Amino acid sequence: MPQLYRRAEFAVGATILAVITGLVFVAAVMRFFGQPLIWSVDMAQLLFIWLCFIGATRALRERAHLGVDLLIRFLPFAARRWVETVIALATLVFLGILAWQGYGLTMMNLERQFGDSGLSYAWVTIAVPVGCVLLSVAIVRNLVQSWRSADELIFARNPVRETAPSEL
Amino acid sequence: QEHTLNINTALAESDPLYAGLEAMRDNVAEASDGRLAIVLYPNSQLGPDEDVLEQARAGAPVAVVVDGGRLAAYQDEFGVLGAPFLASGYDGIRKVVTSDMFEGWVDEMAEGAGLQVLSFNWWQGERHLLTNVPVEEPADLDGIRMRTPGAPVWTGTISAMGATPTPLPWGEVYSALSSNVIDGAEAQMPAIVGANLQEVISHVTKTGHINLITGLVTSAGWFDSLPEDLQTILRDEALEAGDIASYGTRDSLAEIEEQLTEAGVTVSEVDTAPFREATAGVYDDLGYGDLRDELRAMAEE
Amino acid sequence: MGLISVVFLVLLLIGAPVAIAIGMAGFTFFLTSPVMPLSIGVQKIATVSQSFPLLAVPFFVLAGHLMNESDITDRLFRFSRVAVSWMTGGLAQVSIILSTLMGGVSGSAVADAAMQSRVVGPQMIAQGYARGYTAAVIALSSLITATIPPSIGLILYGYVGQVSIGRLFMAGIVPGVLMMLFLMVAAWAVAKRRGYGVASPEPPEPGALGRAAWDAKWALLFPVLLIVSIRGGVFTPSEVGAFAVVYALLVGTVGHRVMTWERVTRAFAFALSDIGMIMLIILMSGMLGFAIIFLRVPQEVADLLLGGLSNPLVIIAVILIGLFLAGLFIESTILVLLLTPILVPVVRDVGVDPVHFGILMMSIVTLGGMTPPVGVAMFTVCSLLDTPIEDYIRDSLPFFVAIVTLILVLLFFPGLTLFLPNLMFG
Ligand code: NA
Ligand code: NA
Repeated sequence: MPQLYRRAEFAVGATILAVITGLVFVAAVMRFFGQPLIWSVDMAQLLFIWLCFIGATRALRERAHLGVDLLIRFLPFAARRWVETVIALATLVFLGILAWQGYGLTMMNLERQFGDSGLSYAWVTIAVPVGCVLLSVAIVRNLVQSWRSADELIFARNPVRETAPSEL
Repeated sequence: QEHTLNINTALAESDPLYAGLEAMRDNVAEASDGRLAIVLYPNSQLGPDEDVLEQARAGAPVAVVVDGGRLAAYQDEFGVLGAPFLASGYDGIRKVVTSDMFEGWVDEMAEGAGLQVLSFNWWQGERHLLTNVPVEEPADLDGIRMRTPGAPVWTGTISAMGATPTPLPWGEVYSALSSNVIDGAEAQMPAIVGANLQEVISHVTKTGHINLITGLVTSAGWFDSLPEDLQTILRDEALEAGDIASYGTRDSLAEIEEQLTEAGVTVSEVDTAPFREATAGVYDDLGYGDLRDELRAMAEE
Repeated sequence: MGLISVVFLVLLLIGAPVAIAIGMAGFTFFLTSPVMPLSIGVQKIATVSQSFPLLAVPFFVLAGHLMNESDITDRLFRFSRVAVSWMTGGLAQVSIILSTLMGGVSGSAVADAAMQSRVVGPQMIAQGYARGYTAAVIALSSLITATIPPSIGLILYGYVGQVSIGRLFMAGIVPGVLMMLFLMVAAWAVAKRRGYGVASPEPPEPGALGRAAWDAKWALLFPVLLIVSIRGGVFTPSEVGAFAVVYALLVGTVGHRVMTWERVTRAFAFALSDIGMIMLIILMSGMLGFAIIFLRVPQEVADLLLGGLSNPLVIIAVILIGLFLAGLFIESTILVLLLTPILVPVVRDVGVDPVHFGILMMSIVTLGGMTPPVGVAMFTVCSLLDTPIEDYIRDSLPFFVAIVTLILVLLFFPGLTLFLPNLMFG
């Protein structure tokens, strides 16, 4: 099941990245030949935020998000895991509020147009609450994994362990 | 002070319209004995227009200078203000936006979408064609990739006039023109020099195809929460400041033209009749066919 | 603003991911504001994603990975090894020159830094350069990208400050080239002391150099093609990254015949994580940027700085130092948008050409992205190269000194900056 979820996430993320690139490339080439596409770049811009959050979730699972460990790297592992657990719980609350507020904002502004495309801007706004839920799931997963393991942290990579190869 | 309104605009402080906003800030402070303060945010500091409209709908004390196109999603009739050759000059379009019919749309939008218009007489000028070739008739625009906002009313107008509408963010226009990614653009006079486009175009053809009128829009929820006397002060001063801004814009036009000519740009008048004819269908395509004649008659009174 | 700073610093120091620290600090404003609804915090996150020039970030990150997979990198470095292995700190020099070439096609220092972290970084580390030194060279040399046209920062500055963008573009060329030379000297000095890149002290034979160049022709052609495609009117500077992706794919499949489905998938997998990591920081900074504007922090700082000063040189010096301090904490685009309209009139009053000032300002605020505590270019490079920030800070000092020296030279000799625009526009 987790394997399937990761594969689906990768498939969606990679597809969006490819589509965004293609849309911008094709729009430029078509414009060069005097046949500009009105909606192409708009669509790329709309998909961009989804790409960001799907990528951010993946990076979170890979423990690739950057932090400053200037002070806490001198802590023993157990203490460091406790510090990270507190951060993780606070982050879950933060993401939860963002998701709830984001859902409300989206519902309140369904009329708002996305650029000039005729689509609703809700397709952009709703990416924030959905993204926050995805990030939360990844944090809970890291949290569980960390407390089940002997040497794995929640956000930071274990410096002793070999960096895991990118899972698909 | 007891209340503060934060006004956002995409314009820079050097734009003639901004002087109107400064006048409004000072006049409101005086008329309300300092009970209502206004803070100005130029250069879209609070976000794009649509963001500030959303903040207003959520009840924040913010206002924004927007054109009718942005509001059409909330109140369809506002979209007609951006339609081609609706009215000529500030005096013509001012009649439309101070009419009883317009006030009816204002009330409907406050009720239905939570957005309160303070005044809609902030004139930014007529939009003209910017090219590197002389333009005398629609046929001269054939094959010209002309940057325009991507809304149907703009792309419809530009394509009816004979050019190929090409959407691009406004911030990209200068470099796109200088490297021939596009062949032309269309804009009002203050915006041309505001973005230094005189450096990358050689011809301004004064079609005046779209008469760019904008308005000051705030949160209906916040507005209704104000004491009634402050509501009156705010709307009256907004109307008066709109006139200051618009006449300031009108007075600056000659100077801007001079600046363009000095930079080596050919500024030319053109017979607008063929362009007007070519764009007649745009209204019907957008469902504004009935409004067209009524509003045009009103503007020419 | 005090509370916001405290939240940010505490979270950062206890090791929270930077994106989360920035996000929670910015959200503190919405939690405590009596007038701004909570939901607008969400709006500000979403708004950041609607910037067209930011799309260059995913494009150049993906292009970098695809170039690794399409053998471009290897060939480029075989060529560079032949060409410059006799020089002290050869690969660092290559990174600096590459940034100068890339400057002609990319308007974003962060995108350049991200791409070179993939293209140049691993090669440097494999050749025994310290991670800190590698990260420092790549990050600091990406500053060249922000000066040499096209530069998105300069376009913004010209637009907001009503300064001729054409003049700004011409003005950026000489400072960009000087920056390259200054950084090359700094790279050389450190490399000499540490013994980097002195494997074969003999310059290469012309025949060997020619063969290596032919082998790397698609890679060497790449910056030229990007420039041609922009100058030829096909792509805007924001779009050209999409072309870079397509070009890398084409070279890998048709040119070098090494591209496989597996390699493409791997490039996408790496790119996806990199983009997510970089963009979450930028997205989350949307709330903080809004708070800073709404609380009118820049204006207050400007009032404070310029309160009692009258000597023009002192005022300019104070402004530049203030910009530097602000740049330590705030993203450069936000600073340009915020401070340009405040500073340009002051600078004009004092009798300094705003074109000259624009180049100084862009260099300084972009440099802020390469310094702690908040620096997007620094975070990007350090995390892509898996480099401890302390190592980066230590090894970036010589480059930092070189840049500051250059900025002083540019400050006192305006002719260096203004010579080309004056020649061009009179
Ligand atoms: Na570099
Ligand atoms: Na550049």
